[in-house]
Amino acid sequence: MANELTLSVNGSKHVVASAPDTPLLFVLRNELRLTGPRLGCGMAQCGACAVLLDGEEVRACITPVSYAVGKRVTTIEGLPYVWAEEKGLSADDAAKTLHPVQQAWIDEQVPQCGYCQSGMMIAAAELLAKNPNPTVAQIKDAFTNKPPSPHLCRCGTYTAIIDAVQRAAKAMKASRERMS
Amino acid sequence: MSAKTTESNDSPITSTLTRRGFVKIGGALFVSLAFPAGFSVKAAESQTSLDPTLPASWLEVRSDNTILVRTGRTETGTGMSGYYAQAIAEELNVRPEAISLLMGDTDKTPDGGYSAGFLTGMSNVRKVAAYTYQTLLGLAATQLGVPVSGLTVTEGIVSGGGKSISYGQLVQGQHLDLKIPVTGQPAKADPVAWVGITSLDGFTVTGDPPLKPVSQYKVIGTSYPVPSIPDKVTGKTQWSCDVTLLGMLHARMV
Repeated sequence: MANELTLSVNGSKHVVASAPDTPLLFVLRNELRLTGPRLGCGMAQCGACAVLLDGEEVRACITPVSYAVGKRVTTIEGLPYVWAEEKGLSADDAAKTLHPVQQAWIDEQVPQCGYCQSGMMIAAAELLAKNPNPTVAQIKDAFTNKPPSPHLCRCGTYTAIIDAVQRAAKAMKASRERMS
Repeated sequence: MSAKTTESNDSPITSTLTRRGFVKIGGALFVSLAFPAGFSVKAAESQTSLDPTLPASWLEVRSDNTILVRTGRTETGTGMSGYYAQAIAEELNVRPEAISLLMGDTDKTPDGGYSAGFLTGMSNVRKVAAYTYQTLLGLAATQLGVPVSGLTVTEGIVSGGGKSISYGQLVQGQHLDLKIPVTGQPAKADPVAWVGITSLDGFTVTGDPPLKPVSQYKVIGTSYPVPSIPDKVTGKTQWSCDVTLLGMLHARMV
């Protein structure tokens, strides 16, 4: 039966009336209208639905909404706020900024159809938070060997993704050096 | 006012420009489809989203110097939102940034057929732009009192005889209609046909408006960022599975 759950999504509190085993993805998309995370395979085998839970990538299509209670949920729509928080920007400025990963995705013209790219950018944001200067091998490893499955792109944007992750890493490093 | 917009005599098919009226605020040149004689317009009565005759225009040149292009085709990731703008900008001698595209919403655009085919789709919008360019030159020749052969155009500013005028100024205060000749049949539902729809090719622009020689290209061949990408990286892009309609509880694609 539906009961009230309180979620922290992209810095805001939301009370939702959903059965505890409802996939987090359905709550984000249908209740909160955050359509950045996408339903691909529905079996945690493609990565299109990836979101961050306390900074860790999870596949929202198989994660029960109850598991997200008490954790910080970040979708692609919330990536700018993650970066703004690190930079100490005001809420107004946060709304006008992009996470360096998103900017790099534009600069490298990564998306083709774009359906998988929300999950790709979530994976990139997680990787760069843990490893600010990854090698090409480490980037490939993060996108392919990390459980539960590789991030799949049927347009074949993989080489552009590697370039964009490296570009984002440089931009984040430069920004942090300016701040320190 | 009615004017032939192609100067050459080698094309039997020409577009037609009419001034529908004068307006106090704004003004625009609307470019739309001229259907062949005997063309069935039954689809127009059906009011479905596949109706090709409802949309006002393929292209609008507005008095604020912006240009709106409508195409029934969608950006599926092939970069169409970039290269359509480039092709149209090239023929019109404007920057691609001046062009905004309304894509895929066939309640508001002409039937574009299926969303495939750089070559056929590009050829269509290029010809639409070329017809429009000839019309704008004609309007400028009249306004400036300089023959078309004495005019040059740079980034939407027509110059000749020591004077210049922008595309926006040319349409200021007017409601102009340019009819472009096309062939084809409107797509319509047909349960017997392949995928349940006939005439998936959409419309093909006919005639031979003068096209810019490749040697004079300034936009095509240069890098132009795909306009659809920023919305894809911020989660704003709507896929068909993201569309909600008023009062909709559940929907399923069939």
